[in-house]
Amino acid sequence: MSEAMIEVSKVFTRMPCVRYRVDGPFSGEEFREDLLVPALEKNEKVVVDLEGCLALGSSFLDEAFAGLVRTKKFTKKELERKLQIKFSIQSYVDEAWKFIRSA
Amino acid sequence: MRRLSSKKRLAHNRRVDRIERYRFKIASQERSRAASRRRRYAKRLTFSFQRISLPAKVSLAAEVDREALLRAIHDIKKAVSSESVSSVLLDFSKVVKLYPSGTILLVSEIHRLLEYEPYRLKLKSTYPEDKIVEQFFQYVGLIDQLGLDSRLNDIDDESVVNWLCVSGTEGNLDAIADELPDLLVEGANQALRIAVTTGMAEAVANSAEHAYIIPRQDGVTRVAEKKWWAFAREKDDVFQVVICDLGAGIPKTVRKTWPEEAAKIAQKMVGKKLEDQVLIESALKVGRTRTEKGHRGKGLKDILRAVDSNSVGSIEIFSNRGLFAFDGASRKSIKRSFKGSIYGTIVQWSIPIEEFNRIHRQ
Repeated sequence: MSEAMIEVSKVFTRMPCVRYRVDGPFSGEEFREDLLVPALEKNEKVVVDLEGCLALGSSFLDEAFAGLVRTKKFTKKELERKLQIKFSIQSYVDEAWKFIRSA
Repeated sequence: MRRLSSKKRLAHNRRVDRIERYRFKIASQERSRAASRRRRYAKRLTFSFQRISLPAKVSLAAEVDREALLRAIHDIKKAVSSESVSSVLLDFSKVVKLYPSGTILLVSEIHRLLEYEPYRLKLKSTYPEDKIVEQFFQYVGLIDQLGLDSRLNDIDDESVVNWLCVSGTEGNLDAIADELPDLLVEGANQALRIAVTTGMAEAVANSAEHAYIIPRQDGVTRVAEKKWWAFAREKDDVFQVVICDLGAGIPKTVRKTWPEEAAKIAQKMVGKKLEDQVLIESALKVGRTRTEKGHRGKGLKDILRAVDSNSVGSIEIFSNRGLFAFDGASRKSIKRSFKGSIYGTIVQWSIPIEEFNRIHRQ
Protein backbone atom coordinates (compact mmCIF):
# COMPACT_ATOMS: atom_id res chain seq x y z
CA MET A 1 0.00 0.00 0.00
CA SER A 2 1.57 3.31 -1.07
CA GLU A 3 1.66 6.10 1.48
CA ALA A 4 2.74 9.74 1.07
CA MET A 5 3.62 12.32 3.67
CA ILE A 6 3.19 16.09 3.06
CA GLU A 7 5.07 18.17 5.62
CA VAL A 8 3.31 21.49 5.12
CA SER A 9 5.87 23.69 6.90
CA LYS A 10 8.72 22.24 4.82
CA VAL A 11 7.23 21.84 1.35
CA PHE A 12 4.61 24.62 1.36
CA THR A 13 4.63 27.36 4.02
CA ARG A 14 4.89 27.92 7.78
CA MET A 15 1.99 30.41 7.64
CA PRO A 16 -0.93 28.65 5.88
CA CYS A 17 -3.87 31.01 6.29
CA VAL A 18 -5.60 32.40 3.20
CA ARG A 19 -8.35 30.66 1.26
CA TYR A 20 -8.11 31.33 -2.48
CA ARG A 21 -5.17 31.95 -4.83
CA VAL A 22 -6.49 35.47 -5.46
CA ASP A 23 -6.11 36.23 -1.75
CA GLY A 24 -2.35 35.70 -1.83
CA PRO A 25 0.34 33.04 -2.08
CA PHE A 26 0.22 29.74 -0.13
CA SER A 27 -3.56 29.53 -0.09
CA GLY A 28 -5.72 26.54 0.81
CA GLU A 29 -6.82 26.33 -2.83
CA GLU A 30 -3.19 26.22 -4.02
CA PHE A 31 -2.26 23.54 -1.47
CA ARG A 32 -5.26 21.39 -2.39
CA GLU A 33 -4.86 21.63 -6.15
CA ASP A 34 -1.06 21.47 -6.40
CA LEU A 35 -0.11 19.09 -3.59
CA LEU A 36 -3.00 17.33 -1.90
CA VAL A 37 -5.12 16.18 -4.85
CA PRO A 38 -2.13 14.75 -6.81
CA ALA A 39 -0.91 12.94 -3.66
CA LEU A 40 -4.36 11.50 -2.93
CA GLU A 41 -4.74 10.37 -6.55
CA LYS A 42 -1.39 8.57 -6.58
CA ASN A 43 -1.44 7.01 -3.13
CA GLU A 44 -3.65 4.82 -1.01
CA LYS A 45 -2.95 6.92 2.06
CA VAL A 46 -1.76 10.50 2.54
CA VAL A 47 -0.55 11.99 5.82
CA VAL A 48 -0.67 15.79 6.02
CA ASP A 49 1.72 16.85 8.78
CA LEU A 50 1.05 20.39 10.03
CA GLU A 51 3.86 20.34 12.62
CA GLY A 52 6.18 23.34 12.32
CA CYS A 53 3.44 25.68 11.11
CA LEU A 54 3.44 28.97 13.02
CA ALA A 55 -0.19 29.76 12.19
CA LEU A 56 -3.17 27.74 10.92
CA GLY A 57 -6.06 29.75 9.55
CA SER A 58 -9.58 28.32 9.44
CA SER A 59 -9.92 29.69 5.90
CA PHE A 60 -6.90 27.61 4.82
CA LEU A 61 -8.06 24.43 6.61
CA ASP A 62 -11.57 24.69 5.18
CA GLU A 63 -10.47 25.31 1.62
CA ALA A 64 -7.63 22.77 1.63
CA PHE A 65 -9.59 19.86 3.14
CA ALA A 66 -13.34 20.55 2.85
CA GLY A 67 -12.61 21.86 -0.66
CA LEU A 68 -11.77 18.24 -1.67
CA VAL A 69 -15.42 17.32 -1.06
CA ARG A 70 -16.95 20.53 -2.43
CA THR A 71 -15.06 20.19 -5.71
CA LYS A 72 -16.26 16.55 -5.84
CA LYS A 73 -12.72 15.19 -6.11
CA PHE A 74 -13.26 12.87 -3.15
CA THR A 75 -16.16 11.78 -0.98
CA LYS A 76 -16.14 12.13 2.81
CA LYS A 77 -15.89 8.34 3.12
CA GLU A 78 -12.90 8.17 0.79
CA LEU A 79 -11.15 10.89 2.80
CA GLU A 80 -11.81 9.12 6.09
CA ARG A 81 -10.06 6.08 4.59
CA LYS A 82 -7.22 7.81 2.73
CA LEU A 83 -6.42 11.01 4.64
CA GLN A 84 -4.67 11.52 7.95
CA ILE A 85 -4.07 15.00 9.39
CA LYS A 86 -1.35 15.32 12.03
CA PHE A 87 -0.72 18.17 14.43
CA SER A 88 0.27 18.34 18.09
CA ILE A 89 -2.74 20.51 18.96
CA GLN A 90 -5.70 18.21 18.37
CA SER A 91 -8.29 21.03 18.18
CA TYR A 92 -6.92 22.13 14.77
CA VAL A 93 -7.13 18.54 13.45
CA ASP A 94 -10.68 18.25 14.79
CA GLU A 95 -11.59 21.55 13.15
CA ALA A 96 -10.28 20.36 9.76
CA TRP A 97 -12.35 17.17 10.02
CA LYS A 98 -15.39 19.17 11.12
CA PHE A 99 -15.07 21.25 7.95
CA ILE A 100 -14.78 18.07 5.84
CA ARG A 101 -17.86 16.50 7.43
CA SER A 102 -19.95 19.66 7.02
CA ALA A 103 -18.84 20.25 3.41
CA MET B 1 -43.60 107.42 -42.76
CA ARG B 2 -46.74 106.58 -40.93
CA ARG B 3 -46.87 107.67 -37.29
CA LEU B 4 -47.84 105.08 -34.69
CA SER B 5 -50.76 105.69 -32.50
CA SER B 6 -49.87 106.45 -28.89
CA LYS B 7 -51.15 103.01 -27.80
CA LYS B 8 -48.99 101.17 -30.34
CA ARG B 9 -45.99 103.37 -29.53
CA LEU B 10 -46.28 102.38 -25.85
CA ALA B 11 -46.44 98.68 -26.76
CA HIS B 12 -43.43 99.08 -29.09
CA ASN B 13 -41.40 100.79 -26.34
CA ARG B 14 -42.25 98.02 -23.85
CA ARG B 15 -41.11 95.40 -26.38
CA VAL B 16 -37.81 97.25 -26.92
CA ASP B 17 -37.32 97.47 -23.12
CA ARG B 18 -37.90 93.75 -22.73
CA ILE B 19 -35.35 92.95 -25.46
CA GLU B 20 -32.80 95.29 -23.85
CA ARG B 21 -33.32 93.75 -20.41
CA TYR B 22 -32.90 90.27 -21.88
CA ARG B 23 -29.68 91.30 -23.70
CA PHE B 24 -28.36 92.85 -20.46
CA LYS B 25 -29.17 89.67 -18.51
CA ILE B 26 -27.36 87.42 -21.04
CA ALA B 27 -24.36 89.74 -21.07
CA SER B 28 -24.11 89.87 -17.26
CA GLN B 29 -24.38 86.06 -17.05
CA GLU B 30 -21.58 85.75 -19.58
CA ARG B 31 -19.46 88.29 -17.62
CA SER B 32 -20.08 86.32 -14.41
CA ARG B 33 -19.07 83.03 -16.06
CA ALA B 34 -15.91 84.61 -17.48
CA ALA B 35 -15.00 86.04 -14.06
CA SER B 36 -15.53 82.63 -12.47
CA ARG B 37 -13.28 81.04 -15.12
CA ARG B 38 -10.60 83.67 -14.43
CA ARG B 39 -10.82 83.06 -10.66
CA ARG B 40 -10.51 79.28 -11.10
CA TYR B 41 -7.50 79.72 -13.41
CA ALA B 42 -5.87 82.17 -11.00
CA LYS B 43 -6.41 79.74 -8.13
CA ARG B 44 -4.56 77.05 -10.03
CA LEU B 45 -1.63 79.38 -10.57
CA THR B 46 -1.55 80.54 -6.95
CA PHE B 47 0.89 78.82 -4.61
CA SER B 48 -1.28 77.88 -1.67
CA PHE B 49 0.03 76.22 1.41
CA GLN B 50 -1.80 74.49 4.23
CA ARG B 51 -0.34 73.57 7.64
CA ILE B 52 -2.07 70.79 9.55
CA SER B 53 -1.14 70.23 13.18
CA LEU B 54 -1.22 66.69 14.52
CA PRO B 55 -2.57 66.32 18.08
CA ALA B 56 -0.34 65.83 21.13
CA LYS B 57 -1.72 62.33 21.74
CA VAL B 58 -1.99 60.02 18.74
CA SER B 59 -4.60 57.67 20.13
CA LEU B 60 -7.98 56.09 19.37
CA ALA B 61 -8.90 55.18 22.94
CA ALA B 62 -10.49 58.34 24.37
CA GLU B 63 -13.20 60.09 22.36
CA VAL B 64 -11.46 63.48 22.54
CA ASP B 65 -8.09 62.12 21.33
CA ARG B 66 -9.76 60.02 18.66
CA GLU B 67 -11.74 62.96 17.29
CA ALA B 68 -8.63 65.17 17.23
CA LEU B 69 -6.66 62.51 15.33
CA LEU B 70 -9.47 61.75 12.87
CA ARG B 71 -10.02 65.47 12.24
CA ALA B 72 -6.31 65.91 11.47
CA ILE B 73 -6.32 62.88 9.13
CA HIS B 74 -9.47 64.18 7.43
CA ASP B 75 -7.90 67.63 6.99
CA ILE B 76 -4.73 66.10 5.53
CA LYS B 77 -6.72 64.07 3.00
CA LYS B 78 -8.96 67.02 2.11
CA ALA B 79 -6.02 69.39 1.64
CA VAL B 80 -3.88 66.95 -0.33
CA SER B 81 -6.73 66.13 -2.74
CA SER B 82 -7.73 69.78 -3.23
CA GLU B 83 -6.76 71.35 -6.56
CA SER B 84 -6.34 74.73 -4.90
CA VAL B 85 -3.74 73.49 -2.39
CA SER B 86 -0.26 73.00 -3.76
CA SER B 87 1.60 72.11 -0.58
CA VAL B 88 0.51 70.44 2.67
CA LEU B 89 2.73 70.67 5.73
CA LEU B 90 2.21 68.05 8.43
CA ASP B 91 3.13 69.75 11.67
CA PHE B 92 4.34 67.06 14.08
CA SER B 93 5.79 69.57 16.55
CA LYS B 94 3.07 69.08 19.19
CA VAL B 95 3.07 65.27 19.11
CA VAL B 96 4.40 63.88 22.37
CA LYS B 97 2.67 60.54 22.88
CA LEU B 98 2.19 57.71 20.40
CA TYR B 99 -0.28 54.93 21.20
CA PRO B 100 -0.28 51.79 19.02
CA SER B 101 -3.76 51.88 17.48
CA GLY B 102 -3.70 55.63 16.73
CA THR B 103 -0.14 55.52 15.45
CA ILE B 104 -0.72 52.62 13.07
CA LEU B 105 -3.74 54.46 11.63
CA LEU B 106 -1.78 57.69 11.14
CA VAL B 107 1.23 55.92 9.61
CA SER B 108 -0.87 53.79 7.27
CA GLU B 109 -2.98 56.78 6.12
CA ILE B 110 0.17 58.78 5.33
CA HIS B 111 1.74 55.78 3.56
CA ARG B 112 -1.45 55.39 1.51
CA LEU B 113 -1.37 59.06 0.44
CA LEU B 114 2.35 58.85 -0.37
CA GLU B 115 1.66 56.00 -2.81
CA TYR B 116 -0.18 58.40 -5.14
CA GLU B 117 2.36 60.66 -6.84
CA PRO B 118 0.31 63.90 -7.08
CA TYR B 119 -0.32 63.65 -3.32
CA ARG B 120 3.26 62.61 -2.53
CA LEU B 121 4.58 65.75 -4.26
CA LYS B 122 2.40 67.95 -2.05
CA LEU B 123 3.15 66.34 1.32
CA LYS B 124 5.88 67.83 3.51
CA SER B 125 6.43 67.72 7.26
CA THR B 126 8.16 69.31 10.20
CA TYR B 127 10.38 67.35 12.56
CA PRO B 128 8.63 66.31 15.79
CA GLU B 129 9.96 68.26 18.77
CA ASP B 130 9.74 65.19 20.98
CA LYS B 131 12.86 63.08 20.40
CA ILE B 132 11.14 59.73 21.04
CA VAL B 133 8.45 60.61 18.51
CA GLU B 134 11.14 61.62 16.01
CA GLN B 135 12.99 58.34 16.65
CA PHE B 136 9.80 56.39 15.96
CA PHE B 137 8.93 58.31 12.78
CA GLN B 138 12.50 57.86 11.54
CA TYR B 139 12.39 54.15 12.55
CA VAL B 140 9.25 53.51 10.46
CA GLY B 141 10.68 55.50 7.53
CA LEU B 142 8.17 58.35 7.67
CA ILE B 143 10.76 61.11 8.09
CA ASP B 144 12.56 60.02 4.95
CA GLN B 145 9.36 59.42 2.97
CA LEU B 146 8.15 62.94 3.78
CA GLY B 147 11.30 64.43 2.30
CA LEU B 148 13.23 65.23 5.47
CA ASP B 149 16.76 64.09 6.30
CA SER B 150 16.91 61.24 8.80
CA ARG B 151 19.05 63.28 11.15
CA LEU B 152 19.22 61.00 14.20
CA ASN B 153 22.28 58.77 14.19
CA ASP B 154 21.10 56.52 17.00
CA ILE B 155 17.65 55.00 17.25
CA ASP B 156 18.01 53.41 20.63
CA ASP B 157 14.98 54.15 22.78
CA GLU B 158 13.41 50.90 24.02
CA SER B 159 9.91 52.14 23.29
CA VAL B 160 10.95 52.51 19.64
CA VAL B 161 13.35 49.70 18.76
CA ASN B 162 11.17 47.03 20.37
CA TRP B 163 8.54 47.52 17.69
CA LEU B 164 8.36 45.15 14.76
CA CYS B 165 6.87 47.24 11.95
CA VAL B 166 5.89 45.49 8.73
CA SER B 167 3.43 46.03 5.92
CA GLY B 168 2.43 44.07 2.87
CA THR B 169 -0.05 43.46 0.12
CA GLU B 170 -2.63 40.69 -0.16
CA GLY B 171 -2.40 37.77 2.23
CA ASN B 172 1.33 37.27 1.80
CA LEU B 173 2.27 36.09 5.27
CA ASP B 174 5.21 33.87 4.51
CA ALA B 175 7.26 37.05 4.12
CA ILE B 176 6.86 37.89 7.81
CA ALA B 177 7.45 34.38 9.20
CA ASP B 178 11.17 35.12 9.69
CA GLU B 179 10.44 38.43 11.40
CA LEU B 180 8.07 37.16 14.07
CA PRO B 181 9.17 37.80 17.67
CA ASP B 182 10.87 34.80 19.34
CA LEU B 183 8.01 34.16 21.74
CA LEU B 184 5.69 33.49 18.77
CA VAL B 185 8.13 30.94 17.37
CA GLU B 186 9.66 29.33 20.46
CA GLY B 187 7.27 30.01 23.38
CA ALA B 188 6.45 26.87 25.39
CA ASN B 189 2.70 27.47 25.15
CA GLN B 190 2.24 26.29 21.59
CA ALA B 191 -1.55 26.62 21.68
CA LEU B 192 -1.32 30.29 22.60
CA ARG B 193 1.42 31.22 20.16
CA ILE B 194 -0.31 29.42 17.28
CA ALA B 195 -3.59 31.13 18.22
CA VAL B 196 -1.98 34.59 18.38
CA THR B 197 -0.10 34.15 15.10
CA THR B 198 -3.22 32.72 13.46
CA GLY B 199 -5.23 35.71 14.71
CA MET B 200 -2.65 38.08 13.27
CA ALA B 201 -2.62 36.12 10.02
CA GLU B 202 -6.41 36.18 9.86
CA ALA B 203 -6.49 39.95 10.33
CA VAL B 204 -4.07 40.18 7.41
CA ALA B 205 -6.03 37.61 5.38
CA ASN B 206 -9.22 39.57 6.10
CA SER B 207 -7.66 42.57 4.38
CA ALA B 208 -7.13 40.38 1.31
CA GLU B 209 -10.41 38.46 1.37
CA HIS B 210 -12.95 41.04 2.54
CA ALA B 211 -11.69 44.50 3.37
CA TYR B 212 -11.27 45.79 -0.18
CA ILE B 213 -14.30 44.19 -1.84
CA ILE B 214 -16.18 47.51 -1.83
CA PRO B 215 -14.89 51.10 -2.07
CA ARG B 216 -13.67 52.77 1.12
CA GLN B 217 -15.81 55.91 0.61
CA ASP B 218 -13.48 58.17 2.59
CA GLY B 219 -13.80 60.74 -0.17
CA VAL B 220 -10.14 60.66 -1.13
CA THR B 221 -8.50 57.32 -1.70
CA ARG B 222 -8.34 56.36 -5.32
CA VAL B 223 -7.19 52.98 -6.57
CA ALA B 224 -5.72 51.24 -3.54
CA GLU B 225 -3.53 48.23 -3.22
CA LYS B 226 -4.82 45.64 -0.80
CA LYS B 227 -2.48 46.60 1.98
CA TRP B 228 -2.02 45.91 5.66
CA TRP B 229 0.26 47.27 8.35
CA ALA B 230 1.41 45.45 11.51
CA PHE B 231 3.20 46.65 14.63
CA ALA B 232 4.27 44.24 17.40
CA ARG B 233 6.35 44.63 20.56
CA GLU B 234 7.08 43.25 24.01
CA LYS B 235 6.78 45.92 26.69
CA ASP B 236 6.20 45.89 30.46
CA ASP B 237 5.64 42.11 30.49
CA VAL B 238 2.96 42.42 27.81
CA PHE B 239 3.12 41.37 24.17
CA GLN B 240 1.22 43.83 22.01
CA VAL B 241 0.37 43.44 18.37
CA VAL B 242 -1.73 45.73 16.24
CA ILE B 243 -2.82 45.22 12.63
CA CYS B 244 -4.49 47.78 10.39
CA ASP B 245 -6.16 47.71 6.99
CA LEU B 246 -7.66 50.69 5.20
CA GLY B 247 -10.51 48.79 3.60
CA ALA B 248 -14.25 49.40 3.79
CA GLY B 249 -14.41 48.18 7.40
CA ILE B 250 -16.09 45.09 8.90
CA PRO B 251 -19.54 46.77 9.37
CA LYS B 252 -19.70 47.54 5.63
CA THR B 253 -18.22 44.28 4.34
CA VAL B 254 -20.39 42.16 6.65
CA ARG B 255 -23.47 43.38 4.78
CA LYS B 256 -21.96 42.21 1.49
CA THR B 257 -20.24 39.03 2.67
CA TRP B 258 -23.04 37.81 4.96
CA PRO B 259 -26.21 39.46 3.58
CA GLU B 260 -28.58 36.98 5.28
CA GLU B 261 -26.96 37.33 8.70
CA ALA B 262 -26.88 41.14 8.37
CA ALA B 263 -30.59 41.11 7.47
CA LYS B 264 -31.36 38.96 10.55
CA ILE B 265 -29.50 41.39 12.82
CA ALA B 266 -31.33 44.32 11.22
CA GLN B 267 -34.68 42.56 11.90
CA LYS B 268 -33.79 42.20 15.59
CA MET B 269 -32.87 45.86 15.77
CA VAL B 270 -36.11 47.24 14.30
CA GLY B 271 -36.56 50.84 15.35
CA LYS B 272 -32.92 51.16 16.40
CA LYS B 273 -29.88 52.26 14.43
CA LEU B 274 -27.76 49.26 13.38
CA GLU B 275 -24.49 50.37 14.90
CA ASP B 276 -21.03 49.33 13.78
CA GLN B 277 -20.01 47.59 17.02
CA VAL B 278 -23.02 45.25 16.73
CA LEU B 279 -22.00 44.30 13.20
CA ILE B 280 -18.38 43.73 14.29
CA GLU B 281 -19.49 41.36 17.06
CA SER B 282 -21.80 39.44 14.75
CA ALA B 283 -19.08 39.14 12.08
CA LEU B 284 -16.84 37.46 14.65
CA LYS B 285 -19.54 34.99 15.61
CA VAL B 286 -20.92 34.08 12.21
CA GLY B 287 -19.93 30.55 11.36
CA ARG B 288 -20.20 30.25 7.64
CA THR B 289 -21.28 32.23 4.66
CA ARG B 290 -23.81 31.67 1.98
CA THR B 291 -22.36 34.05 -0.56
CA GLU B 292 -21.73 33.30 -4.18
CA LYS B 293 -18.09 32.72 -3.24
CA GLY B 294 -19.26 29.79 -1.18
CA HIS B 295 -17.50 29.35 2.10
CA ARG B 296 -15.74 32.55 2.97
CA GLY B 297 -15.99 33.97 6.45
CA LYS B 298 -14.86 31.10 8.65
CA GLY B 299 -11.64 32.88 9.51
CA LEU B 300 -12.81 35.96 11.41
CA LYS B 301 -13.40 33.94 14.56
CA ASP B 302 -9.66 33.13 14.51
CA ILE B 303 -9.08 36.76 15.50
CA LEU B 304 -10.77 36.08 18.84
CA ARG B 305 -9.34 32.60 19.43
CA ALA B 306 -6.10 33.57 21.24
CA VAL B 307 -7.94 35.57 23.88
CA ASP B 308 -11.17 33.55 23.95
CA SER B 309 -9.95 29.92 23.93
CA ASN B 310 -6.93 30.57 26.14
CA SER B 311 -8.77 32.96 28.53
CA VAL B 312 -5.82 35.36 28.58
CA GLY B 313 -5.09 38.94 27.56
CA SER B 314 -7.42 41.25 25.71
CA ILE B 315 -8.40 42.23 22.20
CA GLU B 316 -9.75 45.48 20.76
CA ILE B 317 -11.29 45.64 17.31
CA PHE B 318 -11.85 49.13 15.93
CA SER B 319 -13.74 49.17 12.65
CA ASN B 320 -15.27 52.31 11.16
CA ARG B 321 -17.28 53.90 14.02
CA GLY B 322 -17.40 50.82 16.24
CA LEU B 323 -15.24 49.23 18.91
CA PHE B 324 -15.60 45.67 20.16
CA ALA B 325 -13.27 44.80 23.05
CA PHE B 326 -12.99 41.46 24.87
CA ASP B 327 -11.05 40.55 28.00
CA GLY B 328 -10.03 36.88 28.06
CA ALA B 329 -9.60 36.47 31.81
CA SER B 330 -12.86 38.13 32.91
CA ARG B 331 -14.77 37.04 29.75
CA LYS B 332 -16.26 40.53 29.61
CA SER B 333 -16.83 42.42 26.39
CA ILE B 334 -17.31 46.10 25.75
CA LYS B 335 -19.06 47.52 22.71
CA ARG B 336 -18.87 51.17 21.89
CA SER B 337 -19.80 53.57 19.14
CA PHE B 338 -17.78 56.66 18.28
CA LYS B 339 -18.74 59.78 16.37
CA GLY B 340 -16.11 59.59 13.63
CA SER B 341 -15.15 56.68 11.36
CA ILE B 342 -11.57 55.42 11.01
CA TYR B 343 -12.50 54.10 7.53
CA GLY B 344 -10.84 50.74 8.06
CA THR B 345 -10.13 48.10 10.67
CA ILE B 346 -7.56 47.93 13.47
CA VAL B 347 -7.15 44.84 15.64
CA GLN B 348 -5.03 45.07 18.77
CA TRP B 349 -4.06 42.17 21.06
CA SER B 350 -2.38 42.54 24.47
CA ILE B 351 -1.19 39.25 25.99
CA PRO B 352 0.91 38.83 29.17
CA ILE B 353 4.33 37.49 28.15
CA GLU B 354 4.37 34.92 30.97
CA GLU B 355 1.40 33.19 29.31
CA PHE B 356 3.59 32.29 26.34
CA ASN B 357 5.91 30.39 28.67
CA ARG B 358 3.25 28.36 30.46
CA ILE B 359 3.40 24.68 29.52
CA HIS B 360 0.37 23.86 27.44
CA ARG B 361 -1.65 20.82 28.46
CA GLN B 362 -4.33 19.52 26.12
